[in-house]
Amino acid sequence: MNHLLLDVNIVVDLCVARAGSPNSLAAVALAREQGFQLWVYAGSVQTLEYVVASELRYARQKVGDALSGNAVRQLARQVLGEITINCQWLAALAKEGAVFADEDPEDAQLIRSLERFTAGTARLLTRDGRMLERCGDAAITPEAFIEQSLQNPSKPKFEFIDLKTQQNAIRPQLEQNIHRVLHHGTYIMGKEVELLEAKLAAYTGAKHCITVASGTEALLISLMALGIGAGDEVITTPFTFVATAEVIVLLGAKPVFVDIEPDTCNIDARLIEVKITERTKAIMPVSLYGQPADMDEINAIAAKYNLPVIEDAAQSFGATYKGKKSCNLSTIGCTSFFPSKPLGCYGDGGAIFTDDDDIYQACREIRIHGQSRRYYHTRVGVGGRMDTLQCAIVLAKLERFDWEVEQRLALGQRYNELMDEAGVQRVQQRDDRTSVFAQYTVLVEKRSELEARFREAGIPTAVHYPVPLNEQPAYQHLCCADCTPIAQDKAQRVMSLPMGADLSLTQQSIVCQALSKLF
Amino acid sequence: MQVEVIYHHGTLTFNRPLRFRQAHFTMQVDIPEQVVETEEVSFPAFDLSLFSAEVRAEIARLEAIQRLAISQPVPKVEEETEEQRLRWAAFELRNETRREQGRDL
Ligand SMILES: Cc1ncc(COP(=O)(O)O)c(C=O)c1O
Repeated sequence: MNHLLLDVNIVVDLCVARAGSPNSLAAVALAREQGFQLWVYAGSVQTLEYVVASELRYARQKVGDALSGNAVRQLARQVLGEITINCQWLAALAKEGAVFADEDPEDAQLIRSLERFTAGTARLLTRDGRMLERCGDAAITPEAFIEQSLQNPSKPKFEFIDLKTQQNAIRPQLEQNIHRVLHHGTYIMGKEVELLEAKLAAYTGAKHCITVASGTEALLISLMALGIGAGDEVITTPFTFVATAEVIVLLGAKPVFVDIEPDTCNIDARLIEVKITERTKAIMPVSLYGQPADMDEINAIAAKYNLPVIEDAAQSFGATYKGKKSCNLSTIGCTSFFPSKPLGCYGDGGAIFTDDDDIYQACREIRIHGQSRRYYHTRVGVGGRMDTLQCAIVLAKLERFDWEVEQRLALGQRYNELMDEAGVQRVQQRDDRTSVFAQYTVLVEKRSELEARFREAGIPTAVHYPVPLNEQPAYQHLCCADCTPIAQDKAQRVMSLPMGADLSLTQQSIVCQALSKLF
Repeated sequence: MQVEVIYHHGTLTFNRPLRFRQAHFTMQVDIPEQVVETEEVSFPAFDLSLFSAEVRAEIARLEAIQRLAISQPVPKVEEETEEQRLRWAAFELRNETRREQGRDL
C-alpha cells in the first residue's frame, strides 16, 4: 500500500478554489483511484481551520461577500469535514511535540510523522518548495505525482485478506483503546481482558469466556482442564491446521483421525463412533473454513459415551449452527484471534468458551500457571494469558464485527453463485448453519498450474491444507494416510481464494473471471 | 484626519499616540500598490481527458464542494470574542511569515 500525506497547502487547495487547486484535485483523485491511502495530519487541524477560513474569506470577498471571522471559520470547518471524509487522520505522536528547536516546528511535525511509515511507502504531497527541499524523495508535487501516475500507474495491491480497510474503518477507536492501555499500564489482566471476556460470552451465548494467549493455547488449556494426558485418545480430523493435533500429542495423548465429508471437508460424524475405545477421552471437531461440523450428531455420540466435545472454532467465530453461535455448540469451544481470523487481534490471542463452571475454573487456573490464588499452584498450568493490549484491539474490532459477518455471508453467497455459474467445484455449506468463510475454498485439478496463473495475474491464493496431518512426518506414525482417503484427495485439490469482509465486489468479480478463464 | 501607520503581520500601529472615543469604527487606508500581491501563480494544466472517468468524477465531486463553499449562504453567527480575534492574529502571523518566505499557505 502506498501512502500520501497531504500537506496543509494541498488540503487548502482542495477546500478553496485557487491557483494550485486544479492540479491538487487531480493528483488526489488519481491517487485514490490508484489505491493510495490519503492521510491528513491530525496535528494540523487548527492551522487548517484558520488557513482555509482565511482563504475562503479572501475568495468570498472577491465575489463581494464580506464574511465575519466566525462565519468564515464555521464555513471552513464544514468544508474541511467534507474534503477529509475519504482521508485518514494521521495521529500526532509524542515525538512530533518536541519540535521547537527546529527551524520550523510545523514542518518538523510533518517530516517526523512520515517516519512511522515503512521506508519508501509514504510521501508528502506538497507544493511547498521548502518541504520539497527538506524531504527529498519523500515529498512530491501534485504535478510530478500526476505525471508519474499517468506514465506508471500503480495498481491497488490485491490482498489475500485485506486488514488495512478494516483498520481504516476502526482507527479512531483502535488508537484510543491502545493508548488507554499505555496510560493505565495494566498490561497483564487489565480491565480490557475482563470486558472482552464478558462481551464475547454475551456474543456467543456461552456462560463463560476465558481469553488465552492463542488458539493453540485455547486447545491445550481445554485438554488440560479435561485432564487429558498420556495414553488417552482424542478423536479429530486430519484435515486441519496442525495445532489441532499438536496439542493432543504434546500432552502425551493420541489423536485418532477420522476422515472428512467430501462436500464440507469437515469431520464425518458417521465415522466417529467406530473409532471410540476405552481410551477415548474427547471428540474434537474442527469448524473448518468457518463452518461448524455436524455438531448435533457429534454431541449425541459424545453423550452416549459420556465424552466431552471440544469445538476447534479457530476459524468460525461468528458462524451459527441451527441458530446457535459457534464456540457455544458443545462442552468447550476454542477460538483464535490470529490476525487473519474472522475476528483477529494484532498478534496472538484466543479464547475458550464453556457453560461448565468446573471447566471454567480449571481453565482460568491453568491459564495462570495453575494457580488458584497468588503463588499457590493447585495444578500444573501454563503462562497462557492474552495480554491487555490485544484484548483492547479485539474490543475495537468487535464494534464492526456484526457488519463484517454479514459481509462475509453475502460475499460467500455471491462467490458460491459465481462458482456454480462457472462450473467450478467448491466446498459446500449446509442450510442449517452459516460459514463465516475464514477461507473461501474451491476444488480444482492441476492446482499448482492454477496457482501460478493466479500469481501472474496478481491474485493471491493459498492452500488450506496441502498435506493431511496423518501424512505429516511428525504425525504419520499415528495413522496411515490411506485410512482417510477423502482428506488425502481434498488436500490435493483445495485452493482458497481472496476473502474477507472488505473484499470489494469488483475484486471478487476479478477473481471469478480469472478462475473461469482458466477452466 | 490623516496619520501614518506601520503595517506588521496583520496589525496596524499608529506612529503617534492617539485615543479614540469609540472601540469600533471604519476608516480608509491607503496601501502602496507595490506591496499588494497581484500576480497569480500559474501551474501547468493537465488535460482532463488524460484521466479515467472515475478520476474525472472524483475531481467533479471535489469541485462541487469548492463551488458550494463560495456560493452557499452562511447563517448569522455570534460576534468574535477578543480571544478569537487574537487567534486569528496568531494565524495571520503564520501566514504572513510564510508569504514573506515565498511559501504558499
Ligand atoms: C483450525 C485451527 N486450529 C487452531 C489454530 C491455532 O490458532 P493460533 O494460531 O491462534 O494458535 C488455527 C489457526 O491458525 C486453526 O486454523
